[in-house]
Amino acid sequence: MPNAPRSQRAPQPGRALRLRDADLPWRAVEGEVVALDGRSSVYLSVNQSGAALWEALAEGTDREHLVEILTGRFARGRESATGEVDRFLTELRAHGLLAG
Amino acid sequence: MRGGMDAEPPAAAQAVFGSLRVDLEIAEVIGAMQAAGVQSILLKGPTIARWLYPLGETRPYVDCDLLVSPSQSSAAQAALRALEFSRLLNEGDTPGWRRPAHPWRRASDGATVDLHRSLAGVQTDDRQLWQALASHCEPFAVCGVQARALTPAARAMHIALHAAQHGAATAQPLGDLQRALRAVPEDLWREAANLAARLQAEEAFAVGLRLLDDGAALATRLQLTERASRETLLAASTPPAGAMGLEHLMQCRGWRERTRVTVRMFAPTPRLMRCVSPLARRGRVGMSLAYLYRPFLVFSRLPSAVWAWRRCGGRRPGFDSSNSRR
Repeated sequence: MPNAPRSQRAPQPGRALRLRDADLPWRAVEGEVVALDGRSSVYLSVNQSGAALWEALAEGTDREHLVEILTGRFARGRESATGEVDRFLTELRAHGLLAG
Repeated sequence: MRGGMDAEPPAAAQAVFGSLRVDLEIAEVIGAMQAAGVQSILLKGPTIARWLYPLGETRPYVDCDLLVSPSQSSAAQAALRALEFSRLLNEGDTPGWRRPAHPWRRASDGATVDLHRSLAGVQTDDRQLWQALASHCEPFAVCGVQARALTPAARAMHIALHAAQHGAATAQPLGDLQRALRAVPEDLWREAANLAARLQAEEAFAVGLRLLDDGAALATRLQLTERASRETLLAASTPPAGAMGLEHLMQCRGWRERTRVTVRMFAPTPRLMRCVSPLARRGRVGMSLAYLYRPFLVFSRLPSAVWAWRRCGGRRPGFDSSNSRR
Protein backbone atom coordinates (compact mmCIF):
# COMPACT_ATOMS: atom_id res chain seq x y z
CA MET A 1 0.00 0.00 0.00
CA PRO A 2 1.95 2.97 -1.28
CA ASN A 3 0.15 5.51 0.88
CA ALA A 4 0.13 3.54 4.11
CA PRO A 5 1.79 5.18 7.07
CA ARG A 6 5.22 3.75 7.29
CA SER A 7 4.32 2.27 10.68
CA GLN A 8 2.43 -0.39 8.76
CA ARG A 9 5.60 -1.58 7.07
CA ALA A 10 8.09 -3.94 8.73
CA PRO A 11 10.65 -2.15 10.91
CA GLN A 12 14.17 -2.06 9.51
CA PRO A 13 16.46 -4.68 11.06
CA GLY A 14 19.31 -3.45 13.23
CA ARG A 15 17.59 -0.18 14.00
CA ALA A 16 17.19 -0.07 17.77
CA LEU A 17 14.72 2.80 18.17
CA ARG A 18 11.12 2.31 17.18
CA LEU A 19 7.70 3.64 18.05
CA ARG A 20 5.34 1.37 19.94
CA ASP A 21 3.10 -0.67 17.59
CA ALA A 22 0.04 -1.14 19.74
CA ASP A 23 -2.51 1.51 20.75
CA LEU A 24 -0.73 4.37 18.99
CA PRO A 25 -2.56 5.41 15.83
CA TRP A 26 -1.17 8.49 14.08
CA ARG A 27 -1.47 10.51 10.91
CA ALA A 28 0.68 12.98 9.06
CA VAL A 29 -1.43 16.10 8.50
CA GLU A 30 -0.13 19.20 6.73
CA GLY A 31 3.47 18.38 7.52
CA GLU A 32 2.83 17.64 11.20
CA VAL A 33 1.99 14.42 12.97
CA VAL A 34 -1.10 13.95 15.13
CA ALA A 35 -1.30 10.87 17.34
CA LEU A 36 -3.52 9.40 20.01
CA ASP A 37 -1.98 7.38 22.82
CA GLY A 38 -4.74 4.86 23.42
CA ARG A 39 -3.32 3.77 26.76
CA SER A 40 -3.46 7.18 28.38
CA SER A 41 -6.06 8.94 26.17
CA VAL A 42 -3.53 11.68 25.50
CA TYR A 43 -3.60 13.39 22.16
CA LEU A 44 -0.28 14.52 20.74
CA SER A 45 0.80 16.70 17.89
CA VAL A 46 4.33 17.02 16.61
CA ASN A 47 5.76 19.88 14.55
CA GLN A 48 7.43 19.46 11.20
CA SER A 49 10.92 18.55 12.33
CA GLY A 50 9.49 16.27 15.02
CA ALA A 51 7.24 14.71 12.40
CA ALA A 52 10.27 13.73 10.33
CA LEU A 53 11.80 12.06 13.39
CA TRP A 54 8.48 10.41 14.22
CA GLU A 55 8.12 8.90 10.76
CA ALA A 56 11.67 7.51 10.93
CA LEU A 57 10.95 6.03 14.35
CA ALA A 58 7.80 4.40 12.98
CA GLU A 59 9.98 2.40 10.59
CA GLY A 60 12.77 1.74 13.05
CA THR A 61 15.89 3.86 13.18
CA ASP A 62 18.84 4.78 15.35
CA ARG A 63 20.02 7.94 17.08
CA GLU A 64 22.62 8.76 14.44
CA HIS A 65 20.08 8.54 11.63
CA LEU A 66 17.73 10.88 13.51
CA VAL A 67 20.53 13.43 13.89
CA GLU A 68 21.24 13.16 10.15
CA ILE A 69 17.58 13.89 9.39
CA LEU A 70 17.74 17.18 11.27
CA THR A 71 21.12 18.23 9.89
CA GLY A 72 20.28 17.21 6.34
CA ARG A 73 16.65 18.27 5.97
CA PHE A 74 16.31 21.08 8.48
CA ALA A 75 19.77 22.65 8.29
CA ARG A 76 20.49 22.21 12.00
CA GLY A 77 24.03 22.28 13.25
CA ARG A 78 25.24 18.91 14.49
CA GLU A 79 25.38 19.88 18.17
CA SER A 80 21.94 21.49 18.06
CA ALA A 81 20.48 18.50 16.20
CA THR A 82 21.92 16.03 18.70
CA GLY A 83 20.41 17.96 21.60
CA GLU A 84 17.05 18.16 19.85
CA VAL A 85 17.01 14.43 19.10
CA ASP A 86 17.89 13.55 22.69
CA ARG A 87 15.18 15.82 24.06
CA PHE A 88 12.62 14.33 21.65
CA LEU A 89 13.56 10.76 22.59
CA THR A 90 13.39 11.63 26.28
CA GLU A 91 9.87 13.00 25.81
CA LEU A 92 8.77 9.92 23.85
CA ARG A 93 10.16 7.64 26.58
CA ALA A 94 8.40 9.68 29.25
CA HIS A 95 5.10 9.08 27.44
CA GLY A 96 5.89 5.39 26.95
CA LEU A 97 5.76 5.71 23.18
CA LEU A 98 8.90 3.80 22.27
CA ALA A 99 8.93 0.05 21.84
CA GLY A 100 10.91 -2.14 24.19
CA MET B 1 5.61 17.78 20.90
CA ARG B 2 2.35 19.24 22.13
CA GLY B 3 -0.34 17.26 23.84
CA GLY B 4 -3.28 17.16 26.19
CA MET B 5 -4.51 14.77 28.84
CA ASP B 6 -8.18 13.86 28.41
CA ALA B 7 -8.70 17.27 26.83
CA GLU B 8 -10.42 18.01 23.58
CA PRO B 9 -8.04 18.41 20.65
CA PRO B 10 -8.17 21.65 18.69
CA ALA B 11 -11.24 21.92 16.47
CA ALA B 12 -9.25 21.63 13.26
CA ALA B 13 -7.76 18.32 14.37
CA GLN B 14 -10.92 16.78 15.79
CA ALA B 15 -11.85 14.86 12.66
CA VAL B 16 -8.36 13.37 12.53
CA PHE B 17 -8.35 12.45 16.19
CA GLY B 18 -11.83 10.99 15.79
CA SER B 19 -10.47 8.64 13.15
CA LEU B 20 -7.51 7.72 15.35
CA ARG B 21 -9.92 6.87 18.13
CA VAL B 22 -11.82 4.64 15.71
CA ASP B 23 -8.51 2.93 14.85
CA LEU B 24 -8.15 1.97 18.51
CA GLU B 25 -11.73 0.67 18.55
CA ILE B 26 -11.11 -1.32 15.37
CA ALA B 27 -8.03 -2.92 16.91
CA GLU B 28 -9.95 -3.73 20.08
CA VAL B 29 -12.92 -5.29 18.26
CA ILE B 30 -10.88 -7.27 15.74
CA GLY B 31 -8.58 -8.46 18.53
CA ALA B 32 -11.61 -9.70 20.47
CA MET B 33 -13.05 -11.37 17.37
CA GLN B 34 -9.74 -13.13 16.71
CA ALA B 35 -9.57 -14.31 20.32
CA ALA B 36 -13.05 -15.79 19.82
CA GLY B 37 -11.94 -17.52 16.61
CA VAL B 38 -14.04 -15.22 14.38
CA GLN B 39 -12.63 -14.26 11.02
CA SER B 40 -13.56 -10.79 9.84
CA ILE B 41 -12.84 -8.48 6.92
CA LEU B 42 -12.32 -4.80 7.65
CA LEU B 43 -14.25 -2.61 5.20
CA LYS B 44 -13.95 1.09 4.32
CA GLY B 45 -12.51 3.44 6.98
CA PRO B 46 -8.74 3.16 7.26
CA THR B 47 -8.54 0.73 4.32
CA ILE B 48 -9.69 3.51 2.01
CA ALA B 49 -8.02 6.38 3.87
CA ARG B 50 -4.55 4.86 3.69
CA TRP B 51 -4.98 3.62 0.13
CA LEU B 52 -6.39 6.67 -1.64
CA TYR B 53 -5.57 9.65 0.56
CA PRO B 54 -1.86 10.48 0.55
CA LEU B 55 -0.03 11.25 3.74
CA GLY B 56 -1.09 14.72 4.74
CA GLU B 57 -4.68 14.48 3.54
CA THR B 58 -7.50 13.35 5.77
CA ARG B 59 -10.43 11.13 5.06
CA PRO B 60 -12.38 10.97 8.33
CA TYR B 61 -14.33 7.92 9.46
CA VAL B 62 -16.53 7.49 12.48
CA ASP B 63 -17.16 3.79 12.86
CA CYS B 64 -15.80 0.32 12.23
CA ASP B 65 -17.27 -1.73 9.36
CA LEU B 66 -16.68 -5.47 9.65
CA LEU B 67 -17.89 -8.28 7.41
CA VAL B 68 -18.14 -11.72 9.01
CA SER B 69 -19.08 -15.12 7.69
CA PRO B 70 -22.76 -16.07 8.20
CA SER B 71 -21.57 -19.23 9.96
CA GLN B 72 -19.75 -17.10 12.53
CA SER B 73 -22.35 -14.36 12.91
CA SER B 74 -23.51 -15.57 16.33
CA ALA B 75 -19.94 -15.79 17.64
CA ALA B 76 -19.19 -12.30 16.28
CA GLN B 77 -22.27 -10.91 18.04
CA ALA B 78 -21.25 -12.62 21.27
CA ALA B 79 -17.78 -11.07 20.99
CA LEU B 80 -19.34 -7.62 20.59
CA ARG B 81 -21.63 -8.16 23.59
CA ALA B 82 -18.62 -9.17 25.65
CA LEU B 83 -17.13 -5.76 24.78
CA GLU B 84 -20.39 -4.15 25.99
CA PHE B 85 -21.71 -3.34 22.53
CA SER B 86 -25.49 -3.49 22.02
CA ARG B 87 -27.27 -4.06 18.76
CA LEU B 88 -29.29 -0.98 17.83
CA LEU B 89 -31.79 -2.63 15.46
CA ASN B 90 -33.16 -6.10 14.77
CA GLU B 91 -34.58 -7.43 11.50
CA GLY B 92 -38.12 -6.98 12.81
CA ASP B 93 -37.54 -3.25 13.24
CA THR B 94 -37.28 -2.73 9.49
CA PRO B 95 -39.74 -5.15 7.82
CA GLY B 96 -39.54 -5.25 4.05
CA TRP B 97 -35.91 -4.16 4.13
CA ARG B 98 -33.21 -6.74 4.76
CA ARG B 99 -30.28 -4.58 5.77
CA PRO B 100 -26.77 -5.60 4.68
CA ALA B 101 -25.38 -4.47 8.05
CA HIS B 102 -26.57 -3.77 11.56
CA PRO B 103 -25.15 -1.06 13.80
CA TRP B 104 -23.84 -1.93 17.26
CA ARG B 105 -23.03 0.76 19.78
CA ARG B 106 -21.23 0.93 23.09
CA ALA B 107 -22.94 3.35 25.46
CA SER B 108 -19.84 4.10 27.56
CA ASP B 109 -17.85 5.75 24.78
CA GLY B 110 -20.16 5.88 21.75
CA ALA B 111 -18.00 3.44 19.77
CA THR B 112 -19.96 2.06 16.81
CA VAL B 113 -19.47 -1.12 14.78
CA ASP B 114 -21.42 -1.86 11.61
CA LEU B 115 -21.52 -5.64 11.51
CA HIS B 116 -22.02 -6.68 7.90
CA ARG B 117 -23.52 -9.85 6.59
CA SER B 118 -23.46 -8.45 3.03
CA LEU B 119 -22.82 -5.31 0.99
CA ALA B 120 -25.42 -2.94 -0.44
CA GLY B 121 -26.15 -3.79 -4.06
CA VAL B 122 -25.11 -7.45 -3.78
CA GLN B 123 -27.87 -9.91 -4.66
CA THR B 124 -26.07 -13.19 -4.03
CA ASP B 125 -26.52 -14.95 -0.69
CA ASP B 126 -24.35 -14.13 2.31
CA ARG B 127 -22.40 -17.39 2.22
CA GLN B 128 -21.36 -16.93 -1.41
CA LEU B 129 -20.45 -13.30 -0.74
CA TRP B 130 -18.20 -14.32 2.15
CA GLN B 131 -16.53 -17.07 0.12
CA ALA B 132 -15.86 -14.67 -2.76
CA LEU B 133 -14.50 -11.83 -0.62
CA ALA B 134 -12.50 -14.07 1.71
CA SER B 135 -10.42 -15.01 -1.31
CA HIS B 136 -9.88 -11.31 -2.14
CA CYS B 137 -8.21 -10.26 1.12
CA GLU B 138 -4.80 -9.11 2.24
CA PRO B 139 -3.20 -8.35 5.63
CA PHE B 140 -3.86 -4.90 7.07
CA ALA B 141 -2.37 -3.72 10.36
CA VAL B 142 -4.30 -1.44 12.69
CA CYS B 143 -2.63 -0.33 15.91
CA GLY B 144 -0.53 -3.48 16.07
CA VAL B 145 -3.42 -5.85 15.29
CA GLN B 146 -3.19 -7.84 12.06
CA ALA B 147 -6.59 -7.50 10.41
CA ARG B 148 -7.70 -8.48 6.90
CA ALA B 149 -8.86 -6.00 4.29
CA LEU B 150 -10.10 -6.35 0.74
CA THR B 151 -7.58 -6.40 -2.08
CA PRO B 152 -7.48 -3.28 -4.30
CA ALA B 153 -9.80 -4.76 -6.94
CA ALA B 154 -12.38 -5.82 -4.35
CA ARG B 155 -12.00 -2.50 -2.60
CA ALA B 156 -12.60 -0.67 -5.89
CA MET B 157 -15.74 -2.72 -6.40
CA HIS B 158 -16.95 -1.85 -2.91
CA ILE B 159 -16.24 1.85 -3.45
CA ALA B 160 -18.49 1.84 -6.55
CA LEU B 161 -21.22 -0.05 -4.68
CA HIS B 162 -20.93 2.38 -1.77
CA ALA B 163 -21.32 5.34 -4.13
CA ALA B 164 -24.46 3.74 -5.62
CA GLN B 165 -25.81 3.07 -2.12
CA HIS B 166 -25.55 6.70 -1.03
CA GLY B 167 -26.01 8.46 -4.30
CA ALA B 168 -24.93 11.55 -6.14
CA ALA B 169 -25.49 14.02 -3.34
CA THR B 170 -23.28 12.36 -0.71
CA ALA B 171 -19.77 13.78 -0.80
CA GLN B 172 -17.51 11.19 0.80
CA PRO B 173 -18.46 8.08 -1.21
CA LEU B 174 -18.23 10.12 -4.42
CA GLY B 175 -14.88 11.53 -3.31
CA ASP B 176 -13.60 8.01 -2.70
CA LEU B 177 -14.84 6.95 -6.14
CA GLN B 178 -13.20 9.92 -7.83
CA ARG B 179 -9.85 9.07 -6.26
CA ALA B 180 -10.23 5.39 -7.05
CA LEU B 181 -10.94 6.20 -10.70
CA ARG B 182 -7.67 8.17 -10.81
CA ALA B 183 -5.55 5.72 -8.86
CA VAL B 184 -6.76 2.27 -9.88
CA PRO B 185 -5.55 0.88 -13.24
CA GLU B 186 -8.11 -0.43 -15.69
CA ASP B 187 -7.13 -4.08 -15.33
CA LEU B 188 -8.04 -3.90 -11.64
CA TRP B 189 -11.36 -2.27 -12.50
CA ARG B 190 -11.98 -5.16 -14.90
CA GLU B 191 -11.25 -7.56 -12.04
CA ALA B 192 -13.64 -5.52 -9.87
CA ALA B 193 -16.34 -5.79 -12.53
CA ASN B 194 -15.87 -9.57 -12.73
CA LEU B 195 -16.17 -9.82 -8.96
CA ALA B 196 -19.32 -7.68 -9.03
CA ALA B 197 -20.82 -9.99 -11.66
CA ARG B 198 -19.99 -13.03 -9.53
CA LEU B 199 -21.79 -11.38 -6.59
CA GLN B 200 -24.79 -10.40 -8.75
CA ALA B 201 -23.94 -6.78 -8.02
CA GLU B 202 -23.20 -5.64 -11.56
CA GLU B 203 -26.19 -3.28 -11.74
CA ALA B 204 -25.22 -1.39 -8.59
CA PHE B 205 -21.55 -1.44 -9.62
CA ALA B 206 -22.39 0.11 -13.00
CA VAL B 207 -24.79 2.66 -11.50
CA GLY B 208 -22.17 3.67 -8.96
CA LEU B 209 -19.49 4.16 -11.62
CA ARG B 210 -21.86 6.19 -13.81
CA LEU B 211 -22.32 8.77 -11.07
CA LEU B 212 -19.09 10.32 -12.36
CA ASP B 213 -18.12 11.14 -15.97
CA ASP B 214 -14.86 9.20 -15.70
CA GLY B 215 -16.76 6.30 -14.21
CA ALA B 216 -19.32 6.39 -17.03
CA ALA B 217 -16.54 6.24 -19.61
CA LEU B 218 -14.98 3.31 -17.74
CA ALA B 219 -18.34 1.54 -17.54
CA THR B 220 -18.66 1.87 -21.32
CA ARG B 221 -15.17 0.46 -21.90
CA LEU B 222 -15.92 -2.44 -19.55
CA GLN B 223 -19.23 -3.00 -21.38
CA LEU B 224 -21.20 -2.97 -18.15
CA THR B 225 -24.93 -3.42 -18.12
CA GLU B 226 -27.11 -0.36 -18.56
CA ARG B 227 -30.08 -2.01 -16.89
CA ALA B 228 -30.88 -1.01 -13.37
CA SER B 229 -33.71 -1.69 -10.97
CA ARG B 230 -35.80 1.11 -9.57
CA GLU B 231 -34.37 0.44 -6.11
CA THR B 232 -30.79 0.81 -7.35
CA LEU B 233 -31.56 3.98 -9.32
CA LEU B 234 -33.54 5.43 -6.45
CA ALA B 235 -30.72 4.92 -3.94
CA ALA B 236 -28.21 6.41 -6.38
CA SER B 237 -30.33 9.56 -6.67
CA THR B 238 -29.97 10.24 -2.90
CA PRO B 239 -33.75 10.28 -2.58
CA PRO B 240 -35.78 12.32 -0.09
CA ALA B 241 -36.90 10.71 3.16
CA GLY B 242 -39.63 8.15 2.66
CA ALA B 243 -38.82 7.27 -0.95
CA MET B 244 -36.85 4.09 -0.12
CA GLY B 245 -39.56 3.10 2.33
CA LEU B 246 -42.10 3.47 -0.46
CA GLU B 247 -39.96 1.26 -2.71
CA HIS B 248 -39.72 -1.41 -0.02
CA LEU B 249 -43.51 -1.22 0.40
CA MET B 250 -44.04 -1.71 -3.33
CA GLN B 251 -41.72 -4.73 -3.29
CA CYS B 252 -43.88 -6.48 -0.69
CA ARG B 253 -45.56 -9.70 -1.74
CA GLY B 254 -49.11 -10.05 -0.60
CA TRP B 255 -51.38 -7.91 1.50
CA ARG B 256 -50.14 -9.31 4.84
CA GLU B 257 -46.57 -8.20 4.25
CA ARG B 258 -47.73 -4.89 2.82
CA THR B 259 -49.89 -4.27 5.87
CA ARG B 260 -47.03 -5.10 8.23
CA VAL B 261 -44.68 -2.70 6.44
CA THR B 262 -47.32 0.06 6.33
CA VAL B 263 -48.01 -0.29 10.05
CA ARG B 264 -44.27 -0.05 10.78
CA MET B 265 -44.02 3.00 8.54
CA PHE B 266 -46.54 4.86 10.72
CA ALA B 267 -45.62 3.20 14.00
CA PRO B 268 -42.01 2.06 14.02
CA THR B 269 -40.70 0.00 16.90
CA PRO B 270 -39.35 2.03 19.85
CA ARG B 271 -35.84 0.87 18.93
CA LEU B 272 -36.18 2.33 15.43
CA MET B 273 -37.85 5.48 16.77
CA ARG B 274 -34.84 6.10 19.02
CA CYS B 275 -32.55 5.71 16.01
CA VAL B 276 -34.42 8.09 13.71
CA SER B 277 -36.01 10.62 16.09
CA PRO B 278 -34.05 12.79 18.54
CA LEU B 279 -37.38 13.51 20.28
CA ALA B 280 -37.91 9.80 20.93
CA ARG B 281 -34.65 9.68 22.89
CA ARG B 282 -35.98 12.10 25.48
CA GLY B 283 -37.69 9.63 27.79
CA ARG B 284 -41.29 8.44 27.75
CA VAL B 285 -42.77 11.87 27.04
CA GLY B 286 -40.45 12.40 24.10
CA MET B 287 -41.25 8.94 22.73
CA SER B 288 -45.02 9.57 23.05
CA LEU B 289 -44.73 12.91 21.28
CA ALA B 290 -42.61 11.32 18.55
CA TYR B 291 -45.30 8.69 17.93
CA LEU B 292 -48.02 11.36 17.87
CA TYR B 293 -46.04 13.37 15.35
CA ARG B 294 -45.11 10.36 13.20
CA PRO B 295 -48.22 10.18 10.94
CA PHE B 296 -47.93 13.88 10.13
CA LEU B 297 -44.27 13.35 9.28
CA VAL B 298 -45.05 10.41 6.98
CA PHE B 299 -47.80 12.29 5.14
CA SER B 300 -45.68 15.42 4.81
CA ARG B 301 -42.92 13.41 3.15
CA LEU B 302 -45.26 11.50 0.85
CA PRO B 303 -45.45 13.91 -2.13
CA SER B 304 -41.68 14.25 -2.58
CA ALA B 305 -41.19 10.52 -1.90
CA VAL B 306 -43.76 9.55 -4.54
CA TRP B 307 -42.31 12.01 -7.04
CA ALA B 308 -38.76 10.67 -6.51
CA TRP B 309 -40.00 7.08 -6.69
CA ARG B 310 -41.92 7.61 -9.94
CA ARG B 311 -39.03 9.56 -11.46
CA CYS B 312 -36.73 6.57 -11.14
CA GLY B 313 -38.92 4.29 -13.25
CA GLY B 314 -38.17 0.59 -13.30
CA ARG B 315 -35.96 -1.84 -15.19
CA ARG B 316 -35.11 -0.17 -18.47
CA PRO B 317 -32.11 0.14 -20.77
CA GLY B 318 -29.93 3.18 -20.27
CA PHE B 319 -29.30 5.03 -17.08
CA ASP B 320 -30.53 8.57 -17.09
CA SER B 321 -27.97 10.12 -14.81
CA SER B 322 -27.93 13.45 -16.61
CA ASN B 323 -29.49 15.17 -13.61
CA SER B 324 -27.20 13.62 -11.06
CA ARG B 325 -23.88 12.84 -12.72
CA ARG B 326 -20.86 15.00 -11.89
